[in-house]
Amino acid sequence: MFNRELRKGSAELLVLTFLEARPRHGYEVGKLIEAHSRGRISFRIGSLYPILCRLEDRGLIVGRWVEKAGARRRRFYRLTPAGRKFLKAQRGVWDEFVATINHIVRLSHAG
Amino acid sequence: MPDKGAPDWLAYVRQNLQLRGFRPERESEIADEIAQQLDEVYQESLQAGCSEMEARSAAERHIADWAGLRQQLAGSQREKQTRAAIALEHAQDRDLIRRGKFSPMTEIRQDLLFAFRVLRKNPTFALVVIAILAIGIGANILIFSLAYAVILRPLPYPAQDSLLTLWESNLAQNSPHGQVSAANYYDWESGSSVFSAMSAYSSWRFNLTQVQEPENLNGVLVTPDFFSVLGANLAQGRTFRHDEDQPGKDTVAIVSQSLWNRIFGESATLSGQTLTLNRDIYTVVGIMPSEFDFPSSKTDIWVPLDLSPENKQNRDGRWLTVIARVKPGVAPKQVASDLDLVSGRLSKAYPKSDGTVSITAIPLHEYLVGDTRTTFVVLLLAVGLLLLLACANIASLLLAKGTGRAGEFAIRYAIGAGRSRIVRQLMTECCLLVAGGAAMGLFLAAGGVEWIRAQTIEGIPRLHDAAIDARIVAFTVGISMLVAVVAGLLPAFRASSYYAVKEGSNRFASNPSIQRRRAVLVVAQLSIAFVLLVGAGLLVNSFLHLARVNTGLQVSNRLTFQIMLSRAEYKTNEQQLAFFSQTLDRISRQSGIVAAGGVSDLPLVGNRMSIKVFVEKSSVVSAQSPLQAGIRWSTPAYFDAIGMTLRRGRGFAEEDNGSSLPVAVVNQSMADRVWPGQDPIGMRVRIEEDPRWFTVVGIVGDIKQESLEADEGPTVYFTYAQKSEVWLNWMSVVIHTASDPHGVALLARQQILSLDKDQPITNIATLEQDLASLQMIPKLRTMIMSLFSFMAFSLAVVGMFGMVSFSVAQRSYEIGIRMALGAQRGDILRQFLVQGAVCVSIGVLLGIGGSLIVTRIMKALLFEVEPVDLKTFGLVAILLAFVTMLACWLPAGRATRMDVIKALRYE
Repeated sequence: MFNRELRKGSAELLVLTFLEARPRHGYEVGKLIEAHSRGRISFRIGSLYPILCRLEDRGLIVGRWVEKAGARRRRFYRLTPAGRKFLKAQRGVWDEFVATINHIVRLSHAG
Repeated sequence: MPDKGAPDWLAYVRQNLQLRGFRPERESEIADEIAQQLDEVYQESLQAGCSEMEARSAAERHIADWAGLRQQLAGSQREKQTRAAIALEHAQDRDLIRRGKFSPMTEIRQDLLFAFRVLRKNPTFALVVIAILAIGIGANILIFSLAYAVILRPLPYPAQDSLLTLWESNLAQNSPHGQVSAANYYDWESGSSVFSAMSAYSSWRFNLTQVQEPENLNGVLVTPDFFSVLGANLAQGRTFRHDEDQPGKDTVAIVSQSLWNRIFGESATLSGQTLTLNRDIYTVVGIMPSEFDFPSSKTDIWVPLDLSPENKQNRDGRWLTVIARVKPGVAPKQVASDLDLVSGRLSKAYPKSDGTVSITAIPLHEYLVGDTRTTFVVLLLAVGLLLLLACANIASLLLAKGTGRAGEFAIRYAIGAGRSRIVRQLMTECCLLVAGGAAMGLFLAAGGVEWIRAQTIEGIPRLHDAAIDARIVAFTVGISMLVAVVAGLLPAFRASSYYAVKEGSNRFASNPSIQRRRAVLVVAQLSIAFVLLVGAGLLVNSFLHLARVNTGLQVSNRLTFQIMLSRAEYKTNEQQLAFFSQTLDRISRQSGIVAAGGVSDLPLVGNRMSIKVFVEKSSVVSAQSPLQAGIRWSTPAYFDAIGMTLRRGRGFAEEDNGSSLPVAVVNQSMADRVWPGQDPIGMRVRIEEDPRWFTVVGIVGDIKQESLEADEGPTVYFTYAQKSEVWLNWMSVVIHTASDPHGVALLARQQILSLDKDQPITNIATLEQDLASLQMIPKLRTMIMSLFSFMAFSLAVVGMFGMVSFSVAQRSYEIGIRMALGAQRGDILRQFLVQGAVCVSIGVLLGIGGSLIVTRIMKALLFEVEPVDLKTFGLVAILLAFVTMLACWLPAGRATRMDVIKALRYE
């Protein structure tokens, strides 16, 4: 399991990433994160739900109730244009951050 | 809808989540969504082969900390609302700019509206701050308005700085400010060149008769220039003419407005009105305005001072008070050297009476209020410190509150607000709180002023003039602005700093810089509380000493009143003695009366006659050099009636009369001073103006005469039956009753009226009331200081409690980590107690330093207590340390009982 601070700092980025392709409901997003990280990153409902609320309150995602016949109604989230813009910017920041850390870590290991 | 047999996840979520402050539809939406997700987990677990119980547990484990979830959702909601409010604000700004209607006033209005919204959302916080401010500001307004009325307000006379009082100073007789003899007054008036006018006056009492209810009036005998020296204007009529101090022309009077209204009615005309005073008819020639109160607010009547040519030459009777107005442009040094010249000339010319006499000048304002100055300085200092403490307390609260708003400030910075805008917003909120506190403080102070005006407080001049007027309101505004700056600026700058916003975004990291600042503020509060507690402790100690002072007499069940006979009606000693004797005889025969006696000057009320007394056979006082001693006349039953102790010999007897051996009784101080190691019984004394030698027949204990602090000094008693002084036409009667003395006044009045239907009695009081009056100012001063120190102590202790509680909350994650790593509960407790102990120690040390300075100012107010009283300092240090450490221990104890899992689970 990764360090709590690392998880926390990347949670929003992860959620936005999985909403980029198509709308999903909250539980599905959590399952996708766990699956794609091979179990090394997992969020419980109590942790993930507030993230979704925060992103929605900031206008980066928007939720909509969808009811299908014979099934419980679910709230599906999708990215807004502001969310797409934010995700693109955060990806750039993350790439730069990882590159910088890698550079330092490799350098000190070599030195 | 849940499957049949499946848990009702919606009910489960609603039961545990319990959101507050959300719209019902939003709350429903949240509960619904969470329930849906829990149901997904549950169904998935069942499909994976888990039992129903295992599936339910798996779902429930997804939300173990409902309180944490609730907090996060609430925080998110608040951020959303703040963002919306700020966005609306900016939209309104843009709209106003577009319409060309944006101005600085617009921003101020917006700041005010936003501040109202913020405070409305935190009503408890706002009310606590307003209450603290109301106490601090209210106390300052109250004391300032009293101090202004008594000591700061100028006298209502033109060019008051040129008004002086002049005194005979005789340091050889231990009399630095003595009253003036008539001869000296007239010589000063004619001999000095620096004064434009001079006047002399003396208090006198007049019996007002030929009215419905005869009464005894507070009068003043004055020389003709009295009102022009002061520059006082009459409300109606004229002042005295220069020839009206001659016998035959002196039966004119100027009355106070209240006496005029009482006797003649407000609308009566002045012309031709007369009063019968001491059986003589006086024509009223003028009325003083109601605000004129010299020499006292109780003065009813002013009458010309008529002295015969012989009395004008009398240098031995010292009974006048002199006021004078300095000529314009004359410096104080010139006045002093002129007075030295005059007194030098008189010393050479009259060595016997004036050989060691010089002239002292005291400004009139100083004379009137000087005694009360130290009291008010100390009280102003105390309320100033209390306000400073309140500011520190509020700054600490605002600092803590500011950390919780880091998210809001981060949004403002993100939208483009500068730091100055945020600081201005925070200062607007602070100003609103201060305005609320000031308004409430003004209201409380107004009530306090009215209460004080309704009390009968003797010894503080002009107190009845205290009022909340425009000056006091201006003071309130000024002090409020100062408070807003002192209490609000530091927290505003701290909370709005970029780094604070960044740190504060992580709610669960501790804020060492905030903690340090709060610790400094708590230390400041503790040190101020220490100073105030020491001040109050010294005053309480002093008052307890004062209350234990042996007055030398018995005060319970003693009624007193004064009779002043008319000289016109009771011209001779025999007539006066007969009246007094019959009065006492009739009163003492009534049932319930244990004893009744009379004396010329009642103890505990301050009057004291002193005169040169010659003694014989003293080893320390020469027969040719008289000593200044107090004298009193009393009746045989007086010592018993007032409960004085007869130490040796006997008191006066009925047989001591005009034809028997003249006798005297001396007090212990006189015996010790004049005849140390000798037996005073049988020795003889003589007073000036009386050639008779009086034989000492008894020694009585000392009593308290002018104050509880001062010793009585040497005193000689003579019996009324042997007096030759016709001017001694008054007597204070003391009645010892078997039970409650209050009902006896009517009885005494009836007995006196049966002897003379026009004879009033005055100054009816019990000795207990007289004693209470003497104690009143020290008691009031002690109570006020104790109240302020209690408030300061409470604020400081609450401040410490708040600081440690905040620290515990801020560091809960860190505490959880430490305990998870093996730290014991005792270690955690010790950490916070050490933090508190450091604050307390520094606070007490600083408090000791401050007290050493402040208590020196109080020296004049203390009785038998030193300003640096180790016992008081020690007790205060122990009390403050103990209670403050208790205030640390309570929240620190809570930290040790924290649930480690819960502390660690905060995300």
